Amino acid sequence: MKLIKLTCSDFARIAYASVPLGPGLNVLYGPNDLGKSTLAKALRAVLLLPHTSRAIEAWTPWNREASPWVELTFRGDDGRVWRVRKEYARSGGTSLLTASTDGETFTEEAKGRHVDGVLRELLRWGIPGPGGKGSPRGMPQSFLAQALLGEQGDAALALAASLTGDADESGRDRLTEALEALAVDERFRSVLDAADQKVSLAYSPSGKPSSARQSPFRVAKDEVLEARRALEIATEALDRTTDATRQGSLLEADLLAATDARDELRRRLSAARTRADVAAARARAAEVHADRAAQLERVQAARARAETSALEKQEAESGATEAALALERARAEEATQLAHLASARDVLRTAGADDPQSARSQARASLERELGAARRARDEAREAARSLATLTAAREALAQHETNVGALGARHASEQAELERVVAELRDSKIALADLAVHDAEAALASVASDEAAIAELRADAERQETQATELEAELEALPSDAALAALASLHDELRFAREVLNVGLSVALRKPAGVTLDAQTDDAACVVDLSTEQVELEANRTVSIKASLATGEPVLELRVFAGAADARARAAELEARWQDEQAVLGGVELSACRQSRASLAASIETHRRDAAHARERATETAARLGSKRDAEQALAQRRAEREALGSSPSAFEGAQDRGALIRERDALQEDVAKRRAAVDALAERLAELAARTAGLKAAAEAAAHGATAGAETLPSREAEVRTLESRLEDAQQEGDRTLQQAEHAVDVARTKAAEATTARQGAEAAVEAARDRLAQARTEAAAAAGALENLDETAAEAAMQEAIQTLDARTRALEALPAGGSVESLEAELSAAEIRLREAEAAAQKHEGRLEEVGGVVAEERHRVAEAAYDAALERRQDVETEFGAWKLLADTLREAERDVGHHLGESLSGPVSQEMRRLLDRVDATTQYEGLSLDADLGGVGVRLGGEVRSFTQLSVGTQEQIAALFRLSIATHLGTPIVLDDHLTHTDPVRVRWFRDLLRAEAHRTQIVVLTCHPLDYLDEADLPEEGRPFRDRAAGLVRAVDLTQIIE
Amino acid sequence: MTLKVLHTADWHLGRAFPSFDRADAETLSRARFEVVERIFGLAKRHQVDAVLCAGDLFDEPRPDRAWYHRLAQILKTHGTGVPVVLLPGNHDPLVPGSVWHPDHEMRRLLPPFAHVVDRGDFELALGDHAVVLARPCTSKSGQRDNALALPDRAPGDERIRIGMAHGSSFDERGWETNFPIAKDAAIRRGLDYLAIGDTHTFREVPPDAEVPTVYPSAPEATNFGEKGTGFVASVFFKRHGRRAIVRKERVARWRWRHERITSIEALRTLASEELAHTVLRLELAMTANAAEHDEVDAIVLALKGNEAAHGRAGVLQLQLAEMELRTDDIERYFEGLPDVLRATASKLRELEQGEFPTRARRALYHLYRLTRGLGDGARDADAPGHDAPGHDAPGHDAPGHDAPATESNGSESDA
Repeated sequence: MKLIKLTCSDFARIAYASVPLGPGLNVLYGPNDLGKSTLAKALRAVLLLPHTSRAIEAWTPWNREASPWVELTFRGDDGRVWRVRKEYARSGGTSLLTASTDGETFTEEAKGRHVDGVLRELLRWGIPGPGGKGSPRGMPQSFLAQALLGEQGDAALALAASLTGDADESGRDRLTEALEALAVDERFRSVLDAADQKVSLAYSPSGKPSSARQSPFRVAKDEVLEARRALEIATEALDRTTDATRQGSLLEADLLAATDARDELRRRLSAARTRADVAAARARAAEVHADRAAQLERVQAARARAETSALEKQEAESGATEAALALERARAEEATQLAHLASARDVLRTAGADDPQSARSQARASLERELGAARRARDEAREAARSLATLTAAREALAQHETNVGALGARHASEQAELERVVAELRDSKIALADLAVHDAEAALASVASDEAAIAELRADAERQETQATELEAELEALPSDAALAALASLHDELRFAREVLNVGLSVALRKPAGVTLDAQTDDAACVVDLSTEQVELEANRTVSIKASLATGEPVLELRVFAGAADARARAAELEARWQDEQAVLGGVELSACRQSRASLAASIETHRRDAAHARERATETAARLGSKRDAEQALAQRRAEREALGSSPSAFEGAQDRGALIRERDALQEDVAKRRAAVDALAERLAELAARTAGLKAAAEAAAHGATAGAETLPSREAEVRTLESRLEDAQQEGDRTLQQAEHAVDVARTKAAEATTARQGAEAAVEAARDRLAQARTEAAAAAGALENLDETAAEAAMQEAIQTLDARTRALEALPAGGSVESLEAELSAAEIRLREAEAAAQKHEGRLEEVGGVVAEERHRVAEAAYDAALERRQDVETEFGAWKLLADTLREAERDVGHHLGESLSGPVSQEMRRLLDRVDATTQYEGLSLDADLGGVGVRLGGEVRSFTQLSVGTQEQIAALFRLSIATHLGTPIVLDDHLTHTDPVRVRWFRDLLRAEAHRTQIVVLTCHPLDYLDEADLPEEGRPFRDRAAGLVRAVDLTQIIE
Repeated sequence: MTLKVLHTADWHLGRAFPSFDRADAETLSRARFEVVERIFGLAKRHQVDAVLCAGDLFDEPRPDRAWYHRLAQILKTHGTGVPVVLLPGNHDPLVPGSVWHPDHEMRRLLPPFAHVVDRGDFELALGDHAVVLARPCTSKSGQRDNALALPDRAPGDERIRIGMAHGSSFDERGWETNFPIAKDAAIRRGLDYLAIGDTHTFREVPPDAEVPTVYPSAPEATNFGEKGTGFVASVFFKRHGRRAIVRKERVARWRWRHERITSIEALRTLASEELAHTVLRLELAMTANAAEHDEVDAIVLALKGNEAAHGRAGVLQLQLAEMELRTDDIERYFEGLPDVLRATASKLRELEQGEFPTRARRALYHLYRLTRGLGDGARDADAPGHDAPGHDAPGHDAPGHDAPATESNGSESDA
């Protein structure tokens, strides 16, 4: 730090003064009470005293109404020119701190109450920032403030001061840093140097991680940034791929579902077709069955007809027998009548020819008649005996007929049983149909319910997607706007440009004497200087800073070169500040990351929205397909009622059934029942008729049998009678004549009767003929019926019928075994709809495949893996760099800390050089006294002087020596800190010899320390030739290192 | 009418290895070209009738100019004039601007015997008795089966038919976006051999199939843990109908090994091996006291090399996250040093209990090295700064501890 100019106005007794200060020894001289000490006070005030302090009241001019102000221009350790101006007014006052890189253009660094905070940070004199706890109300005090700007006063007091009184550690730290160079242990020194060198690679002088281009932190950070950018790109590509794949799998699931649905429908259709085929086969079997049944019926009808015909034939035969019997009787009657006639005629003839004879003849005739009658009776009996045989045959025929009627009755019964079975089957069929209807209705209701659930699911999904989109939008809102980001980006670009503008390149060439070492930094980084040559050339982009020092470590020269125009640097600084302010909006996130986040959030929102729309669309589609639930429930109730009506017998059918087939089956069964009923009724009728006829025949046969038996029983008596009569006829022969007349009459009567008998016989003959005809016809018919029956094989017909029944049963079972699943037509319609859906899904999948080709696929995954690994490696490297250099910093810091704790306390560090000077000083006056040096404690408090191995208190020294030692001590501190020192009439008790010596010392020190001496004895420090010319305020000598300032020319 | 072809794939030329140091990454990139040179050397020695390169020859469709210039140069220099068929894969698909596109500069650089599969009906007759049929990838992912897209054998065609396609996964679900190839594609299309690429492992799929379908593997591995890499397939045909004879030929120079080392002994053993052509991922997972740590550093430096001397390992990638310094005995190394240095060590030991224990240990280790005149002990993975590569580590005076054996994670499977 170098003071350049101090200006004050209305400050205590000084109305106005402006003191230009040189870089080396400044001797400010003037008579007593001119205001020399006031100038020192002004300097202290402007550096240390806040403008709000009431302490200033003591310096407010008592003779003028004005507010005092002080302005100090100085060059800071950072190379910048600083200007601080404070105005102390009762009404408040102001402070302003400005800085400049070129000494011309000043920009504000702080104002008001902030000024002192910044100043104290710059000075690091152990004075804490204002406003803190325990900050003093008056002029702040600290060890360094006292040492460097100390007031005139007690030298012993100055020596007794120490760091323990400092309110903060900045003074101690500053001294420690400055005195480290004095650490004498070489091993410690080399370790610390090595550690410092490492630290300097990565950390700025202020101890922050360096952001210079070559800094390992910067390199590692850049690597991480680069790797992260690559990873972000890869992640984006991968997200695109994942998104596409996810959509692809959704579409594929759709496609699979559509394919499955299609296949299921195909399967069901195929099953339905099979069922239809089986049903058709069963229908054919039913037809065959009906055919066979008809055929069997025909056979059975033919057999009935044949049986009827046989009965009719037997009836005809009985009729014929009856007619034959009647004819016999008629013939017999005719023969009787003719015999009567012939006998009558014989009687007549007898009677006519010989009366007596006639009477006899008559008698004989009568006997003959009686004989004839007896013969006839005998014949009749014989005939009866004969007809008894015929009757036996007739009875046999009747028995046969009854047997036939019994067979017919049995058939009727079996037909009746069959009919009942079919009726039962019909009822089962109806129940199955009703169950099926109930089942279908339940299935329909379940399908409606499941569709509703699916719709709800899809709508919920849409809601979720929507919610996520909304959440993401909120997140998006939370990020800075695009405009803000763009503004930031443009600011950042400007900043980078401004930085780049400063990179104009510097080339510094210098020649150095041997024995001088150079410590150079280019662009804030240490650079190795070849110490073996005289010529040194340095290249840099922006800054070059060179410190030259002697082999002893004594600094000789410090040079700083900055590149770029002043306005450019100012511009860069301004932009840097703006950037620091404005990037706060990012909340610590990288600008590019922020932009990436916005983009990726927007993309995610869009995806969610799209998914939501998709789900909703599908919900609407499903809803459109969905029927009303109430309809389905009503249908189910109706079906259940219908089923209830059919009774509670369980259905023989399980699950879904083929309704069409069932209906057809029921219809067939109903038809079958009707047919069977008609057949059974016909059979019953026929049976009744035959029974009636059988009864008639039985009665006739009984009657005939009775007559025949009676006739046959009389036969022996008749024959006996015939023989009696024949004998009597012999007797009566004689009496025929007498009865001639009677005979003639009898002939007439007999003739009539004979004629009648003949007619009767002829009638009987006709009847016989008719009966014969009828019999012949009956026989023909019976033969035909029997023949027909012979042609129709009833057994075969029945076997065929059984076979047909079995086939039908098998088909029915096969049909029952097949699950029912709707009609072929409706399934075909569903299948074509499913195929359309499948094609749509295929088209969507195909379209998506086109999209898929645009994304990275496995390549993207692989690249992402590589980028991730690289990012991890970069992070690890950064971690390693942080650990490595953090460790170096930790080591350097700990070394210093340890040094402070146990190694060399500050007193020992500083006492060395001070002691050396002190010995030289004291030797001049008292070569016999062997002062070994100054003893200082660890807080730089003066303990005493070492003499002969022990420490002696300062008080044992003369006041003059004390003030000299105090001045040396203070000067030593200033030299080591590189700060100016103000010595205000510090040698008032010093003899001329030592003053002379001191003057030489100060002039020698001037090349490295700025010293401001306030004195009323200028020639203690200056030669006559050094003094300014009359009327001139100052004069510079010794290449500007010595400046004499005549305060009488300056202070008004 | 015998026929001999060389089948290779998955060169991945121009692949970057961002996890490695710049110099190592360059070595690995270069190795991919060197192996291509060796492949063509092998083709020359075997006097093959064709070289079939089944995709992923470049790592991306638009590689740097230097990469394709280099490949064209290799083909010109090492090609024997027999046909070389170059098939675009899913890494370097035939897209507009692709290196394989007819308009690309690369195509003018290629010698006339190089045939790029740049159309959907590619056929190349190899004399009268053989034909090569190929389909390119035209995107980075796709669900098309490029092998099944090849034409069927025409009735009466008695030529040897060789198919070429690039893709993966045989009917595996979840892989259908990476150009699936059906297992029986070769048989269904009447081929005598199906030359495919994508997987970096040599394998016949399925093994002993009636018609061989072969992945020849990547001729140099691209990552740790890849097994069965480093080969080409040498295929010999007698006539159509006779099964082709497939021979696996090693062409790789580099072996990729991942070694997790858990003891200093294991590290010494590893360091004594021949590693000049090994890409070594050295994962140090061990605790070592300062002296052992010193030896570890020396070994690592010897493996890694520096500006002055080549490392003994061809390429070394260090993983040190689990490498820890044991400090319980470190203070004895500071005995006899000035108080201030011993105080520093004590303070650092205390800091080990603090927020940054690793940093504190590392600082202790730096102090250890500096006070023993061992240099600044930089052990940065990127820039080894050791100044004593030949340093004989004082491991013998270190307190011994039980050393678990090496866990070897990635030894190569060999032919």
